[in-house]
Amino acid sequence: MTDNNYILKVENLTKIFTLGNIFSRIKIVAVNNVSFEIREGEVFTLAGESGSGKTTVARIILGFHEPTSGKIIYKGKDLTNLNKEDRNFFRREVQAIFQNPFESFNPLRKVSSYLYETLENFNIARDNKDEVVEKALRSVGLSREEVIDKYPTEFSGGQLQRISIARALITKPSLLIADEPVSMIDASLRMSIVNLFKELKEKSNVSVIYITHDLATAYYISDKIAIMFRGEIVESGEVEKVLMEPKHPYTMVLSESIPEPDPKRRWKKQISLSAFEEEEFLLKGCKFAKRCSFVMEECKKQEIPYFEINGRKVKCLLYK
Amino acid sequence: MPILKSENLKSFYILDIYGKKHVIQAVNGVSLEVEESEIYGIAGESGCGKSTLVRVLYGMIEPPLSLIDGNVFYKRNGEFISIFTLPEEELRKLRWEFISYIPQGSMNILNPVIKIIDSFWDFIGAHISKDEKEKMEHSLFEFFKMLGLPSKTLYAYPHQLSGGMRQRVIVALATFLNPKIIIADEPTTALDVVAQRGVIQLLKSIQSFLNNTIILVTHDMGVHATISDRIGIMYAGNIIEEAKTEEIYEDPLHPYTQYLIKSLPKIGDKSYKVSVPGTPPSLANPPSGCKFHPRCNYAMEECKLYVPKFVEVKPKHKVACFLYSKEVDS
Ligand SMILES: Nc1ncnc2c1ncn2[C@@H]1O[C@H](COP(=O)(O)OP(=O)(O)OP(=O)(O)O)[C@@H](O)[C@H]1O
Ligand SMILES: Nc1ncnc2c1ncn2[C@@H]1O[C@H](COP(=O)(O)OP(=O)(O)O)[C@@H](O)[C@H]1O
Ligand code: SF4
Ligand code: SF4
Ligand SMILES: [Mg+2]
Ligand SMILES: [Mg+2]
Repeated sequence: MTDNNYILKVENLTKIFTLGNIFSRIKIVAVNNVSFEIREGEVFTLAGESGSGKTTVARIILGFHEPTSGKIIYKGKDLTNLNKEDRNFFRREVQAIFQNPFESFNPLRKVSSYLYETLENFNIARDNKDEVVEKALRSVGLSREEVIDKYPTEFSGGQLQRISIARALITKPSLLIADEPVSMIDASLRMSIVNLFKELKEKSNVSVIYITHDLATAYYISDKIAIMFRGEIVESGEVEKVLMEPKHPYTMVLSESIPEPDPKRRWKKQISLSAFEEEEFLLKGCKFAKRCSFVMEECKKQEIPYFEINGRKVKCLLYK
Repeated sequence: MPILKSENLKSFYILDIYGKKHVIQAVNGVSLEVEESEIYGIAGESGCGKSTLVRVLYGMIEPPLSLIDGNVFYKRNGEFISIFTLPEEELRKLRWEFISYIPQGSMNILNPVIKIIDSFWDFIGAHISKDEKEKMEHSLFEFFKMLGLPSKTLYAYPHQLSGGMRQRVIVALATFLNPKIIIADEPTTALDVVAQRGVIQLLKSIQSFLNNTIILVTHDMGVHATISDRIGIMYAGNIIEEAKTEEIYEDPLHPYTQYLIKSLPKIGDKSYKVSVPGTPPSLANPPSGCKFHPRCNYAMEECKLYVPKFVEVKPKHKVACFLYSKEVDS
């Protein structure tokens, strides 16, 4: 049922939002012609600055937004026209984890009720609910005893995020979509979450879409990475290649900007930044042209195609 | 020469919940000295008291926060003055001109319906004459030019700027009056790496132009490695280790700092990283003795009973841990 073990294929996905007030009305191409595939047991990172379209891609896959155009194939089935049975199957197989754990839980509801609710919704473990909840919490380093009868405010951000992962694991998903799961969590707890994803992949062959702008953890857990800029994937391939030898000028700036936890390697060069991001969204040719130090005349005039080099795709005319 | 120092600073949140008193010991006996023209970094996990500490250093103690003990001194015109004895009027003058504070989440404090420059006039409050305003606007332009910021951002509405640009504009405005000390609380935390780098670049260039002292709070150890000269590591309301940046990364002494440094992922390194075991302590009901003892692999009997004193165990390297000194904090 799956070709080449691809669990998810995203083909030419585009999403246009119309923004505006009474004075002006503009169209934002939040996601522009994005394609990628994920294999079973693969961790795939979507990275890029804020506003680059990462969350929009995730929300389209999860069915929260209609795509303007494009296709999403999950285990051979087109998600844009599923029957009811397939939809239930998908909702069980694909689980999401969001950025702010405090927003995922209602402060007035006991945290454990979310776990039990998921069991109900998917009709899992009718007679041994406590056992299943215990098992899910154990897998994230917590116990039912520590969690039961408590409200969200009684947990730290890191604990709450682990509880939302436990909830996601209850349905035994094949694909986890984690949208900036560690950005609200400080360094000392960050690795406990990231290691969880690593374990899930290694022990249970779960695939993960890891959305982040934290490239150090992306390097640590992922197999493949796609770098997004202003709605487009500008470079994609194996994480070692893309982050260690970036080819696209934007990926170069990105990888040079990672603050390394090593005081001996401080930055020397100044980088240039954009002031008005709307302007960049509206550029005709390469959207990085305003900040690119290699910009050529032709870059501003045409849609830039992808070029294959060393087993990766780069959207830049330098590699024509 | 220190420009700011605190002595045994204690400041707690005192809450009244249904008639029951709750005390959160957010800052619990901090003594530190910040040297003139240095970048002093404060690191530590979420909820350990970093923001509360800098708020107290700024003299901004409002209920439910209250000062329990200790003092904060600023050195002005060669003399240390206690900020808690200053008349309100004096303190107000000190702010902006002597010490400037950029609070956590300040990206969102700009009024969304007015232009950025008008927010700025609102902030500096005082009634300035049209003449003065014009002069100020002119030097604001020059200042932005010097820092490489486009001056048209001053006339933009907040939503027109990316998060990173908004944050840089705020940092520039907060430092425009050339304060001796700048306190920046998590100025880059919500930003992506490129925008984050922009803010750090800006702080650095402000410092190299104006030669001021910066107190930088962030839990991002990558940012500290890039910009801080010295770092104080905070845990459960106390500074538990303090040294030069290189020292903290190369020879961390406190078991908590060691975990913190060892767990940092790096590009090019896929080796397994462990995180600090256990969970952060509650500041309403902190552990006895050394507050790290429930999570510490080296914990000894004495660690549960006594609080280790914060002492210099190597030149310019202070730590509070019984592995290095048996001195007890009274
Ligand atoms: N206004 C308040 N009222 C009551 N308690 C508070 C208040 N502000 C902070 N606290 C508590 O004081 C402690 C220290 O908080 P603080 O904001 O100083 O931490 P922090 O180190 O800055 O954390 P973060 O990294 O998340 O910003 C926490 O336990 C927090 O819940
Ligand atoms: N529901 C929406 N309505 C209008 N615009 C949106 C909506 N969601 C996202 N956008 C816009 O689409 C762009 C991409 O946003 P997003 O996918 O959230 O980026 P990221 O997750 O990479 O930060 C941004 O310019 C954002 O403002
Ligand atoms: S296409 Fe041109 S402007 Fe765009 S990144 Fe490549 S060289 Fe730079
Ligand atoms: S004082 Fe004891 S418990 Fe605290 S860090 Fe040192 S060894 Fe560990
Ligand atoms: Mg997002
Ligand atoms: Mg804070």
